[in-house]
Amino acid sequence: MTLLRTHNLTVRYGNKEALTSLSLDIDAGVIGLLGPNGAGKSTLLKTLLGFLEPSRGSAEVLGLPIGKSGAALRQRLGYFPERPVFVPGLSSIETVALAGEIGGLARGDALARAHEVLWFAGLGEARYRLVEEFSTGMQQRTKLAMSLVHDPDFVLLDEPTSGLDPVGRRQMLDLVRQIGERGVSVLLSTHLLHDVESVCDSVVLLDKGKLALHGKLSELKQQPGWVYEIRVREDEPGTFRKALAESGLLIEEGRDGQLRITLEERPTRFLFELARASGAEIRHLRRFERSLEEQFLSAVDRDAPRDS
Amino acid sequence: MPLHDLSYQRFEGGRTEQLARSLAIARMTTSLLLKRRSFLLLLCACWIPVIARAAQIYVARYVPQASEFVTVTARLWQEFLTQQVEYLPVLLVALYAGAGAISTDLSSGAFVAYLSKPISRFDYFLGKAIPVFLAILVVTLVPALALFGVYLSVANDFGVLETAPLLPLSVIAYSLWIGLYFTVFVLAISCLSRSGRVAGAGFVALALGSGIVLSGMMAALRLPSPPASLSMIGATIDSAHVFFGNVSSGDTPYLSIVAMTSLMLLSAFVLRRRLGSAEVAS
Amino acid sequence: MSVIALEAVSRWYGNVLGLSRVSLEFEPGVTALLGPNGAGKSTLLKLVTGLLRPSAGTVSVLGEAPFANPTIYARLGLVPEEEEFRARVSAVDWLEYLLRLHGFGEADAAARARKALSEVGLDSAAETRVTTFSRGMKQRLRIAQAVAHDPDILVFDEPLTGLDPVGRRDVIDSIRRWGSQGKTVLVSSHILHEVELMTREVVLMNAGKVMASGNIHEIRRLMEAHPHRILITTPDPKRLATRLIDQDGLHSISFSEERSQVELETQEPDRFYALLTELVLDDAATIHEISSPDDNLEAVFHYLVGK
Repeated sequence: MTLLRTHNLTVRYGNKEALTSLSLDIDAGVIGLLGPNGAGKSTLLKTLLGFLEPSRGSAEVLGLPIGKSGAALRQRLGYFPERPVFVPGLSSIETVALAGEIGGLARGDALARAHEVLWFAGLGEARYRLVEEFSTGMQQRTKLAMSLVHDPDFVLLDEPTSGLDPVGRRQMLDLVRQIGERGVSVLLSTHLLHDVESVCDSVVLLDKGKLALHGKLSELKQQPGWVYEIRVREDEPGTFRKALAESGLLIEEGRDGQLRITLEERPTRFLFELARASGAEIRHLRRFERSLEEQFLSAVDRDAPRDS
Repeated sequence: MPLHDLSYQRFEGGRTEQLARSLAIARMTTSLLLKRRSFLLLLCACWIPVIARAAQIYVARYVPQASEFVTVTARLWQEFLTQQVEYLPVLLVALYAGAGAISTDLSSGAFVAYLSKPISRFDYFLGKAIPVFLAILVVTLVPALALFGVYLSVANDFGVLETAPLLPLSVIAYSLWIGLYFTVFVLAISCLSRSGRVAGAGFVALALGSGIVLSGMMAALRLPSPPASLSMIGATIDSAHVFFGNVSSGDTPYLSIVAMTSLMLLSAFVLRRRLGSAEVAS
Repeated sequence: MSVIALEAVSRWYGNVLGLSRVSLEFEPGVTALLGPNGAGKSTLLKLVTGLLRPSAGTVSVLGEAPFANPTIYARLGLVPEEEEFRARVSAVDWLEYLLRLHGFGEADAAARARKALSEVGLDSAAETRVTTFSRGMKQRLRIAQAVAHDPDILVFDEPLTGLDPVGRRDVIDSIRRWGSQGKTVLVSSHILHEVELMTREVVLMNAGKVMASGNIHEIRRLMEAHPHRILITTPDPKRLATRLIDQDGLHSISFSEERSQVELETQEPDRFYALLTELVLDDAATIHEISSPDDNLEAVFHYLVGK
């Protein structure tokens, strides 16, 4: 099912072209939106929400054209802005309930739903406290609840894990995953490629207002051939590597002290024999996947001057 | 006994009309205002002239000796309303309720959060305008109607209303006019700054300053004092003559109406441009 | 003697605990400071950089107490978490000015300022006014500012904040480089997999205390409360599971035909890996993949900090 389709979408922001003839066709799911600073990620989100008007081209979200559909489209969209959001003097539950009412829920429904989504977001008893006094983590949870309270079919999350500690980050990503499992599509805009690797099905990479890369994460990560990462525990460091080299295998340095070797087929007892013969023990052996970072860095123009 | 699923759930209920969404913003803004004791005190202070006027009505009826210089005519209502403007209650209430109304939303990020919901920018404006408008009516229309109540309860005839049957309509129309004028203007100032204080200072400077600076300049140049229509407060007072049907006693009442309408259109233009611009939505 | 040594250091803010009886030593190379918000990382960094005085215990940096000690400041570079640049000057003027404050001569300061800017990739923005910089550029400038006087000790508080993936990669590479050049580098960060790219030496903190310090894999080995999880991919998981089940030292074992996987937990990984090699070599078991999903920083962090 098509979630988002743009055709030659051009959007100016200030006096600069932030999106240039962008044509996209994205299926429903949890999608990572990536790009260096100034690539046009935020501009895309704001255009979908109707905050910015395209100067050329068109876009359709959930089958509705942007711009004209305005409120009808936003009824089905949820937005998690990057910057903090609070209404001075309102507690978390009041803020989320208000967002629900503005989102079209009757007052009683809005309050009940606000409690439900705040519970889901993990805010617990803190929901009766003022949002302006919250820690970053609790503010992010409130924002998530605000973006979900009117039950959107598609949520746009702008850096939802920024400012969170490892525990908070893991929980936030877990929430994103759960939303996706309920059939809500997610566009996750972030600088943290690892977040995308852990929750997204597909990736859209923008660079300088243009599409640089788009595809399913599993396909992007696939490395052709039988390349494996291997780590051993050995009595004398370097022996195993030497033995591998002597047997004529292609070896590269991998991450975290691992070696990357290219085999002709799946690993066989040969590797284990080699290890034993050189006084080593295989501790890690895994098919190598290309990292998103590697692809990101090769797809974008690294030397371009960046602003914003 | 069933097992309940506590994970993320979709919502099955119905949706409200567009207007209900503006009203939600208006209700929340109003309740936040009413939580502030200083605002309630301000409203009370703004009712002091009402007590004086009620006393005037009472004295005119029950103290025969005073009837020569204390009378009750249609003029009382016009004077009461224009004095609510001249002695600043309307201005202070608009300042308190309106100056920060949009600027705080811009600085706290609430504006972006509201606009990402299924409402238009006009719905948002409406939600912000209703509380300011109502607050102004609380110190104009409501006390003016209350004075009718006092008058009817102490007078044994309908004297004033017999001579001026349209007086209640004049009172209502003029109050709504003042309310609209100051609401639109203060919100236009509010949307121009992210700081409620700056917006408040700007509002006071323009509302009071326009008259003071102009008269000062004219006096310094030894010119006759300027027409009322050129100052905000002057124009508001002057325009009352049109509503109360005594145009001849005004300065340039029709011109004042035109000046006020122009300022409202300008304010509406500013609001439209600013609330629709990309920069406030970031 | 260690470059940096803390001995039973405590620090309170009124009643609030920042750091509680911490003893640590830092050697040249990169060490990461990890922990949830409020764990005491920033307090520790401020004590080391002499911005705070310990409430109890002693801090020694290069053999001296760092608090209000200009000699130490000259050999130390700090990248604070967020700090606004208010000066309406260009990036290169700003750095030159700071270097002059450090006592460098005019020509020397100019050369060093240029060098530091190029090290963080800001060459093209050298003449641009600092106040117009983006968040990412400001972060790069903060780093240039910390390294311009070529200090022996570098302290980074969340150095990747606000950077895009290109910037993150550049900064991670720089940090590794400075570490391998023999500088003592302390980094606090919340993004654990990025920490893994910088170093394997970590200090894990929680509630003002040090919970563990050292090599991440060594720390994992010492955590006996959490048996090691090991995943094995094999064409015949049922057979492998059957072969393993009567072995000692295994906590649990499960297999999935569908995913061709055997998952097990063991308290004695060393013994298990030896056994696995024997099974392959002497019992003709076929094994395609071996991995240990909880032998990484992410898993160690969550085991130790909990929640």
